[in-house]
Amino acid sequence: MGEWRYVGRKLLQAGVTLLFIISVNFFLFRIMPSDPVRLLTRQRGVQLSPEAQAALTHDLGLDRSLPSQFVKYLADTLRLDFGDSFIYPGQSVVSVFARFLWPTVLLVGTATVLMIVIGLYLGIRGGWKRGRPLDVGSMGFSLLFYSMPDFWLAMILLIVFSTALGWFPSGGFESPSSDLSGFSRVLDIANHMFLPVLTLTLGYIGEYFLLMRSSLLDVLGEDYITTVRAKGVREDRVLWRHAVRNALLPTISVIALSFGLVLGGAITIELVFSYPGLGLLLLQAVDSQDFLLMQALFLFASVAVLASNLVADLVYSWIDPRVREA
Amino acid sequence: MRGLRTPLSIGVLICSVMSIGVGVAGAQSASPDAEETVTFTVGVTGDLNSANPFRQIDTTESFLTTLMYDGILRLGQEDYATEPELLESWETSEDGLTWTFVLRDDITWSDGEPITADDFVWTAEFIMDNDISSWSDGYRFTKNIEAVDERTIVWTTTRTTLVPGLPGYSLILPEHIWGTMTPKEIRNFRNFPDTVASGPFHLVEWEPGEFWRLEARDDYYQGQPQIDEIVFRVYNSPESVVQALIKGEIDHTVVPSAGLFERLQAEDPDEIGTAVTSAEAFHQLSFNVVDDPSSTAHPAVLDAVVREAVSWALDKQTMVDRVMRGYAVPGTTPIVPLYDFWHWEPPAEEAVGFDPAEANRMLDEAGYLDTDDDGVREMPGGGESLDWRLFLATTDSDGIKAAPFVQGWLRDIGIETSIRSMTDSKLYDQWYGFDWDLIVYSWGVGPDPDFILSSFTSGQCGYWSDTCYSNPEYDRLYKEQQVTLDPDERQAIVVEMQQMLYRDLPEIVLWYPNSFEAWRADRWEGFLPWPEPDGVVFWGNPYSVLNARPIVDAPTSAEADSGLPAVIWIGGAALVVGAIAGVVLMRRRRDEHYAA
Repeated sequence: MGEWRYVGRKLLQAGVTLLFIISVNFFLFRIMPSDPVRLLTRQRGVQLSPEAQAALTHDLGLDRSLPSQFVKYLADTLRLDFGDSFIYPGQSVVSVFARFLWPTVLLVGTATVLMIVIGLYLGIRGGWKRGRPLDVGSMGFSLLFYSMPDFWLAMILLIVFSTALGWFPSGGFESPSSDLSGFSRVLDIANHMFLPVLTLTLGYIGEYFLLMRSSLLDVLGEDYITTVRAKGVREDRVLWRHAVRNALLPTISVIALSFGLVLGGAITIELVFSYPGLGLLLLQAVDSQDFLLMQALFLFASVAVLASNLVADLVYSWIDPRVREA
Repeated sequence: MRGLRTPLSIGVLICSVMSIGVGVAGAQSASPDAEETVTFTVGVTGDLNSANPFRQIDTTESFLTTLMYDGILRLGQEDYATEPELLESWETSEDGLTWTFVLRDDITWSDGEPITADDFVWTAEFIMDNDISSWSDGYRFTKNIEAVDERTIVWTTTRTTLVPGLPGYSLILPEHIWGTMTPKEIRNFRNFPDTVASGPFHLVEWEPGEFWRLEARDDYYQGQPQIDEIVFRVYNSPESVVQALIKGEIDHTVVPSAGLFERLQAEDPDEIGTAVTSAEAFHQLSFNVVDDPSSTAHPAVLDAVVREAVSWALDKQTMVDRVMRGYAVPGTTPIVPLYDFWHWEPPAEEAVGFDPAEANRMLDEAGYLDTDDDGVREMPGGGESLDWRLFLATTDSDGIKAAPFVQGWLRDIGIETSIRSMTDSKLYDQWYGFDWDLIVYSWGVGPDPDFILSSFTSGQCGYWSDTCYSNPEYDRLYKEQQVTLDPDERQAIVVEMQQMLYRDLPEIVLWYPNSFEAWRADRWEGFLPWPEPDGVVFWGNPYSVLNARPIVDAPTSAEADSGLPAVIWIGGAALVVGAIAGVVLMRRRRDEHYAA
């Protein structure tokens, strides 16, 4: 009973936040100093006649009152109709978004899974055998890459493994030839994805390593661990059943947040490896002030974070029943 | 025992599924193509925004237009001389008011329909009726354009003008495709897929953010190109496009900076060909000289004496050496020296050189004195100090490097500047809002001087004019050169106009930059510079596109792109699966051991 009340409360909270995000998104782009009509038409040497400007204002619905604009905006948002992109004329914002979504989800998603799995594993092993070679080694290794600027690491990997050794392509999502299909296409995509995934993974293992390690060390100092050990439970079981389970709790929200941020893309990595992802699309949109596209990108990114937070809350309550009571 | 079997067998299963996949893939690539497709891959740093010629923004789109659409006239490969392209013949009446163009009889659209005079008339009328600014320049003074028969176009003008005879402007689109849409539909038309083209190539594949691919037509009237397909691959940074060329993933790229170019020059010249091509552009320092109440310009920039003093204070040669690493020529007038027939180079006694002392003397004499001794001059009679805003675009890396130099030299003559770089669109906002003092920007210039000269006429304020410079005498000369058909007479007027601009200095031409191109010289030959000898090698050059051919037995960009062989991936995957299986296995066995 309390369980469902908790879920319901969380869903309600998420719903309210979503509404808030959608509204902020609406007003954010209406208090921008630039006039949208001017933005859509500006180009060196081009100025619209007043009639054409009025027509465009009407097309964009900007000649209506603010409340009626807001209602229209809500309706459009619900139908996922964000209008046409400015940088890709004649293509809807949603289709452009969908086009750049898949590569990013694949790239950042894969890297996030890898960095979490490896980082947590090393953190557990390191924390368990603190000060041993594995711990010291993992610490040095992960901090080294964590402290490197990721675009720099990307550049080095690109020059070494792509240009010099020729093992991997220098960029892109797949080879620009249309005759690949099935497994060879998968392989081609994996080939293109390898270096960016490696860069991201190496760069962020440290975050999860440190988090997991310190969380585990905290737990290992608790009295109940001593009790469990005194009962004669074997070490392996102490670690995995008793220590890790509790030490994982604080990492859950961080992990959920990482997945929520996938939709933000990885701008620097996508830049260096010419990867056609959402981070790059956002950069382009900001650069050319494609405000309809920006609006949609912001909305989707915030919704993703919101959704993953909701998932984190639910998972959390499932793992740790105390949360529900709180 | 149960625990032992499961993970291992899964591992084996995965491996065998993978090898089946490889077998299939191997069989696919082994099946011999009837003939190898010849692919030319171009690396670009900007995405294609639209395949619609009415929506073209920069050279990426205009190169696509060049590949897909032929004009009635073109600029010859060797010397930019006007010559017919889609035309069989053309003539001008005695009075220069009537132009008759006869189309060739062997020209077709890529869908097989003939290219007719009606197509031309439809396109011209659409451009004029809808005032498509990027193309309408080619139809000025038009009274009537008429299709007399299938192949004959009669173009009458209200005054004697060269305009119909200027190549490069005219566009012909297939009426049977475009004529069925409303103007609004045409503006939003993607022109893809099913692009219908008149040129040697047509767009067949386009993945935004990744690449676009054009296939050669096999029925092209100028002969089939030796390249079967051109692929444009998008790279997100200048660094990675250069790496891709060295690696051999691409066959050609325009190199965006001198630093990267020098690195490519250090490669083996038998592998990487490089060329410094002549400037068809200039960088300028513009002054906000608009006469408009909404202007926020500092009063001093309106004074021609101040502008001349600024010109004396700038060391253009140092900018060429330090900013452009020597890959530029110090600038004088808006018509670039490459077009030597039109360009006017000031003789030594009229030239404004680098002489800060002279600049200071001029400013002192004009009454701009530093009365409060803070190192910055004030307006004559005291008052506002000479503190200017210098704006530029964040995308203008050369301009950004040059700005601190300009700032330093202006400080030497008692003028303070604050530099601000901003996005292009923000810059245009300031620019068209007359809310600026100085702007550093650049222009690309075509072979005929008409357009760039027009940008200094008063009628262009708010449109193409950078500075809103207004000079009735200049406007008069501009109109006169438009109707002067004799080249030598027209040249004299054009020179006079350049002298006027050099004297009034609405903008200071800083330098003419070179462009850099690099390509795989171990794979391709037959490029034809346009014009000879130092013109563009491939980018935007239709002659090289038609004439470039692969060197026999050279490796291709597709091969360089293949990356790791499948075997390594399989091996790696097998290793990972094996390791996981091993770990699980050990754990299970230990569990069993403890449980026992």
